[in-house]
Amino acid sequence: MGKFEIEVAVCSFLVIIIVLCIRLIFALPSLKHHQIKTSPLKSIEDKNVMVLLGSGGHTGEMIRILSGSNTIPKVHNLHFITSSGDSTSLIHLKKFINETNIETKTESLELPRARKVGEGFVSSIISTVKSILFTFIQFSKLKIKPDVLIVNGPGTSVPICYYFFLLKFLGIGKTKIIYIESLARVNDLSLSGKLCYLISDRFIVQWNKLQKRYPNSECYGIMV
Amino acid sequence: MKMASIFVTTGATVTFKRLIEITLDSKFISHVQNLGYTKLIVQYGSQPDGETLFKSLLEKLDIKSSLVDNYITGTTLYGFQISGFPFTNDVKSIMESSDLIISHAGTGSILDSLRLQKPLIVVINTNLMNNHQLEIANELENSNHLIKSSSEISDLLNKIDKIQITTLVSLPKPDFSVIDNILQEI
Repeated sequence: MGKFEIEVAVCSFLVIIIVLCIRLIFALPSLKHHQIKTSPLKSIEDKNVMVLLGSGGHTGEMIRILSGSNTIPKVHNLHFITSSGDSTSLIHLKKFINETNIETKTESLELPRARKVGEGFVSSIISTVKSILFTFIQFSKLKIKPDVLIVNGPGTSVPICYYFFLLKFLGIGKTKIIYIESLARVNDLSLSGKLCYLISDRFIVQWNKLQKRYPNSECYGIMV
Repeated sequence: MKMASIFVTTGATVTFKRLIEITLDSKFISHVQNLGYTKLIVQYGSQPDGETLFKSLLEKLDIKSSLVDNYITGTTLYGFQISGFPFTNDVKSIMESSDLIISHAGTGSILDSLRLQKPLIVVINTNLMNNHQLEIANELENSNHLIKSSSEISDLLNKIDKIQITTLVSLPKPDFSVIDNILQEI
């Protein structure tokens, strides 16, 4: 390869990087500081809303949050996602559905966790990438593109949030992510929270001092 | 004589053995009986080691137990009743009829107790690594919603004495319009 070809290769590579960066800036919700608040075109009732139920404590908190909502029962297209084998979440969900008398669909998917407890930094990056790919396959089979995704921080949130962010980055998705950090996180975000902080459209924490550490987050006190 | 009962919950998934041990201790039982409590109900968790531990501690207390309505139940020589069960989907009704709750630091159990406005002592499991459960217990103790205890029996007994004379602050109800507003705006 001659000098000219190398220069062309380097230049095109740089152009691609710059284009990707610009696209990223436009896609990242956390960088939209001067967003004009207008009411959305489609009301929430007509939107496709997806809720992820994680393990034990996370499911408990999510059900508490949703059971107080007046809007959730009015949503026509409400989907719950649970990890296959998580029977406790299904019991909680069944109870919630019976009590609120809502119409909803539930999908049990085999969802990989982004990381194992106690895993090192590098290997946790590798397993995160793996789990994103796996989730990608699972969700492309599911063929649901939610307008709104609500998660509250189980390990399974991370690949799912990145999957829908990736679709947005590629211009083929428009899922808005609402991330609600667990009440148990008082002084710092969970690893899931840190990883989803920049790609979430609304990032809610439940303690004021945590909000002060993360300026893009919002705090309205205890929500559960 | 009042029929006051104590509910001990260790959480459903990981057995908090130390909490079962210190509450099924003769020192603990005579102490709470002197305070006027007549009954102890223990949720020892779904793991088999919880039930084994519970049964062996009853034996150590010389209590003959039998199975009544899925509860392992027995009574001490002094008429103090102890029952135990692994797991229930309706923990709230048991909490509702209890006068004191002694719980592990799980968010779910803490919230269930506080939402029912029950006096709550949270026992910290120091064996758990990466203990952010301690943070929430600290925070809620600072704002006087509960009393925190170590897993030493002497500390727990002190905290039980303390909670008799403490007026705890009830946890403010969550504002559910918050989630509705977020959903409407997005």
